[in-house]
Amino acid sequence: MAMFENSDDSVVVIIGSGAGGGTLGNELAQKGVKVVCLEAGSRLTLADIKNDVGEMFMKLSWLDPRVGAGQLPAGFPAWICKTVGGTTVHWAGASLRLQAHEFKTLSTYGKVAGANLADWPISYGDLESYYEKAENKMGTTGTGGRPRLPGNNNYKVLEYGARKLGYAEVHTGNMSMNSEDYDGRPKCRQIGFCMSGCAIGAKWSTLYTEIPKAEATGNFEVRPDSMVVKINHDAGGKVTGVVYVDGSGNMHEQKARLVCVAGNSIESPRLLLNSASAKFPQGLANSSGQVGRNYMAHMTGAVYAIMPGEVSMHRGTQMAGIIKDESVHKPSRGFAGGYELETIPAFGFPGFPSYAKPGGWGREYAQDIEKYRNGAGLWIVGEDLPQETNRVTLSTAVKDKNGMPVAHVYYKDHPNDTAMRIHAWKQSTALYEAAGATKVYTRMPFPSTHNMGTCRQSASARDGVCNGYGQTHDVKNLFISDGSQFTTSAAENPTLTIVALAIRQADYITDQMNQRNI
Amino acid sequence: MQDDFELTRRQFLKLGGDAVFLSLVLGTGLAPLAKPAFAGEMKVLSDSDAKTLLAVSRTLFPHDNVEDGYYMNAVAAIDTKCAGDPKTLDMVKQAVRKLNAGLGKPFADAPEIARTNLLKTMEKSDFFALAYGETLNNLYGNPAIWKMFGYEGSSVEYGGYLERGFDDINWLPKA
Repeated sequence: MAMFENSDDSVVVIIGSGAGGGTLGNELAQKGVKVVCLEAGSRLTLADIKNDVGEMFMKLSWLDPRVGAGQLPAGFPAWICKTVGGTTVHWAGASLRLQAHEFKTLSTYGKVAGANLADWPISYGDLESYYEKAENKMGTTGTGGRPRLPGNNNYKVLEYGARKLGYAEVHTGNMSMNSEDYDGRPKCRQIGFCMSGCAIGAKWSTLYTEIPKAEATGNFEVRPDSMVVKINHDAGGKVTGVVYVDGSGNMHEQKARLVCVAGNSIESPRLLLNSASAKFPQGLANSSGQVGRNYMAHMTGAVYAIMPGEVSMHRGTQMAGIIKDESVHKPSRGFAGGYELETIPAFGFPGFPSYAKPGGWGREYAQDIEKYRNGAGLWIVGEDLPQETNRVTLSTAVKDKNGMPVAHVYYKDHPNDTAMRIHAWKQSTALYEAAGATKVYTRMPFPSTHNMGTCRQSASARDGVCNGYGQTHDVKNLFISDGSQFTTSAAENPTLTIVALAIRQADYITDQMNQRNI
Repeated sequence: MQDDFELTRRQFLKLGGDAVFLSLVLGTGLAPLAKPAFAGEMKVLSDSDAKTLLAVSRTLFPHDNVEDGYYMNAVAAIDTKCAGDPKTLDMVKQAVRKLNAGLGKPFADAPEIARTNLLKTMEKSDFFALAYGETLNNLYGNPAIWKMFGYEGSSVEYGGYLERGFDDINWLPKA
């Protein structure tokens, strides 16, 4: 395992070790590029992963202060991770390609009032071969000849209702969760705690795939408990290194040939804004003023139903199946873009009483809680439209323990998002009723796990922060390597696209380094 | 220019169950071990206070087949908070007085419908948020009662559900 000096200015510094940072690090290391990956969280092993929702929430989540505003929970605007492997330790595993038209939303949907729609500077065709590489890397089911997972009870209820409603594209999904032993990892045992971390490593996470593989090359060092607070640059405007605080509170500067930011869509723009200087008073890579703007979290919501017989929805893969029929763009439904319906459980107890009807109480609700065994559930995930006012800024009131302003995250639904959610609630309710539901609860989003768009890709430097490779328009040796790059959110869970973009970015960075352009 | 605000308890709690769950998890962590039914004593609250609070918890989530001791874990948690914070103690004492004054007889002796209606008028109060959150967490967060509700808890030590009924649903008609 390599160890690099703080003074070594030949290394690529990657900030964050999740889907973007962890993948990029391994891809670069495999090509012989020296990488220092700075991760704010600590490093767990599989032995640390327990089937305990509360314990794992505490171990994995980003609990440092943030300020939520608009419709977000004030103290916990988003549910993402601070640990080696980042949110890939927590993610459900759904691995869906974006649809071709979703790279061209402005061209496809036309101008939508209040939305900051734009086409991506890349097309589906640019990413197609990288999607295939990502799926093979992650062992995604239903691709590359790998079988899909078997469906659990919660899926069977979903599938039955979906067929009754006439939905056609219903299956157990494309999951980066082994349906057969793959890449030295075992097949899924239907344990049922995917989002608390997979205790056997059947679900892909950079924690036990990309990161150890990168370490084995001798070109890669991950430094846990290393919180980057600032990116430094020289008089010419090129970045030269990063300042980070280690687990003992000591500050260091790690020099760098280039810097890749992959701290998730809240921390990445926060870091660029906190790196403001005399030369870049609005923050790094922010000549467009778009850093932090167009924050997207997907249009989400959930539906829980009480069925006539036992389901035991905690048994097996949490995101065990999907309905894709509504993911198309069909304006006759009254909104642009589309959504997916994917199973989720209620995360046990006290999850079910807390989540089925937030704030619910009384005898009728208690009686429904007593029918927990008959409960079924699904999650709605659809395209939310970028809005300039949905935005990560620096809090003027709250600082973290290093004295740095924390992220202030503002989000409100666009009317398009609201119309889509109402449609999805209605369809989901009909679905469960078609399967005999005696009660259906529809609910608003959980704290967001999908965070996108705050440093978006754009063809023109005026409209966004980075180009189609994630290279910032303003600083050529500074890259955005996570979901912040997304120009629009599309309807699909974002991880597969983050991984595909990271693989593509690694090719570009290596090529540019070889050409001495960066 | 921006509407920064400190997180206040009320802003957090008005989000309902999610936020209550999160605040409890963030604040204290979940009880890692199965707690038996409560069989201890109050620290600062009187037995009469405890009886009222027990009735509050039972009114919030009435399960006739769950014995009082499991609800008393919530009351004990409120008592512990009161012991650590005089303001909370004051707030709880005041609420207990209000509950017992509102129905012409002790709250605990009133019929469920009357208790429910009175609690509805207090839904926005800090007291309600406290009682609600502690009941959710201490009643339903207690692994000792999960089986009663059909929740099976940790499964990895049993090899998951791959051979233990993950797909054993038997009541759905053939599609």
